[in-house]
Amino acid sequence: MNGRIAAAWAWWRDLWAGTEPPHILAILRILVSAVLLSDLYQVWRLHLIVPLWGPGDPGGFGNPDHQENVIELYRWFPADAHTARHAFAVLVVSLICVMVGWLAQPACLVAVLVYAQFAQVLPEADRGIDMMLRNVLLLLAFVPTGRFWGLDARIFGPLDRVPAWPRRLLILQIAAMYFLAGIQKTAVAWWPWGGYSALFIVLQDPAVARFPFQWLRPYYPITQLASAVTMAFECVAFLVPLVYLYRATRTKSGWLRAQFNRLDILRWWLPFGVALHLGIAATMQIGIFPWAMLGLYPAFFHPDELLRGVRRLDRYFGLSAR
Amino acid sequence: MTRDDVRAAILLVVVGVHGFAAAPLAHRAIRANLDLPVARDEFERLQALGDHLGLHYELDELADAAYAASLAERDFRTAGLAPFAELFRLTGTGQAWGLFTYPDRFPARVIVEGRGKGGEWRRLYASLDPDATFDRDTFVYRRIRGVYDNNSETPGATWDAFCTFAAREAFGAYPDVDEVRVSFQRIHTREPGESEAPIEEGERHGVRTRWRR
Repeated sequence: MNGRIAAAWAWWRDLWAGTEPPHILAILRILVSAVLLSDLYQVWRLHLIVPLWGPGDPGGFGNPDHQENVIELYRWFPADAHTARHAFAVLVVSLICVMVGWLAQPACLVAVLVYAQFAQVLPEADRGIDMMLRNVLLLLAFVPTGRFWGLDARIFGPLDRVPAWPRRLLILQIAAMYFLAGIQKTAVAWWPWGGYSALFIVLQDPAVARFPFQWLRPYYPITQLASAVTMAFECVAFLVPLVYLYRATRTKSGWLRAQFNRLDILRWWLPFGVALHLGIAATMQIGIFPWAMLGLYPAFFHPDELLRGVRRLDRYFGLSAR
Repeated sequence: MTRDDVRAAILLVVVGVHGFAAAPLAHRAIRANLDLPVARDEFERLQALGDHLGLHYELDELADAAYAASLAERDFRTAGLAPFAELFRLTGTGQAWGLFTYPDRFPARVIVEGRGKGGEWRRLYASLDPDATFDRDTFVYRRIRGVYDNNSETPGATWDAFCTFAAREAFGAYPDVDEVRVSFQRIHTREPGESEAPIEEGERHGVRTRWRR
């Protein structure tokens, strides 16, 4: 029994051990902060800082200073529009620091904490993707990604290896998100007995649809097929971590491992995910969600795969020869 | 104990806690929500499915059962996550995922209208109306949509503040407008086979009027 526990523990420990080149985590750092900054630019451009995150008196929707438990932002600082604007500025500056890799780790932490305060001011304005981005920023706070493709490299010296566990944990996080989004679709419209009508219905919702989609009626079977494929995509997401697990242990025996390595479902699962998000971006106006999710997709690639891809492109286009 | 062991132990706790947070358990249990059109429609479809299988349940029976299950799930989830609730709150992290879990056959269109003294109402903004596009960028922005969409079934605390905001924007853009009315229009989406028309436009609700000061 003790032997089994020790073996299980060794397996778990080795799962998170090791290092890898920092390219992917640096790309994630830049993409996540860029997407979030683009969203905050919309807030600034549309003059929504105070309505979204200000207290009630100057016109905030959330009235956070009159709640039963007043959040830290309005407990520690005056409950006025200036505080909302200053907190917004802190969030923007911290995200710029994350993007350029200047004191990136503390900047990630500051961004998470301020962003979380905003989430509490007005929960209705905080969507699932915001929570996902905070999860990722918190993860990045544990890795010195600013020391690669960032200003931290000049201050603290460059890094050529970073811990591999954050990227692995992120793969688990994304797979969990898709899988749970899939199995929680318990509405009959997502299932055969509901006629897979879900996407047709969603596209008729004026709050969500990018265009009036009443013309979709003759193409109803296509939307049914899209609903079915979306469900399949999300529900098989639990297999994704197994793909990586079996890939890393491909020299070991076992029928299931061999099948996983032979089929390599990521070859179709990832392109389908990209198509799904591009489809969402084209047909629905739900903001940064599709772009933020696509910005996390580099996590599915090992840095060596990225470098191999770059070398292949280099050979194909003869870039280095020019 | 090595550094790898410590990291593995911490990640075991992290994955365990987030795994529990991610479990498909109800976060809330509100009986009144199960009487909303979208929920009643869902129960009707489940009832029809049950009838096919020879199991008949009344709609209220289904709603009561769903509520009881949600209540138990919510309490279990809340108790399990209680030690970490403050950490989740401060960092705004968590695992609440759902994307169009319940496609809404009864969505609502937000409408902003304005008129001068004694004049006719004219539509300034309405979702997807190409002739009423006032401040469209603001109204379709995801965080603003989240605010009014959240009020579309039963207008709550933020709806009045949103209507005041929309009216202020309209007064600023239209000097001839002295009165602004903000409301929802219920829509009923029907699938092919259910009706010839895909969408039936219904009555207004959540009507709020603001006057220029």
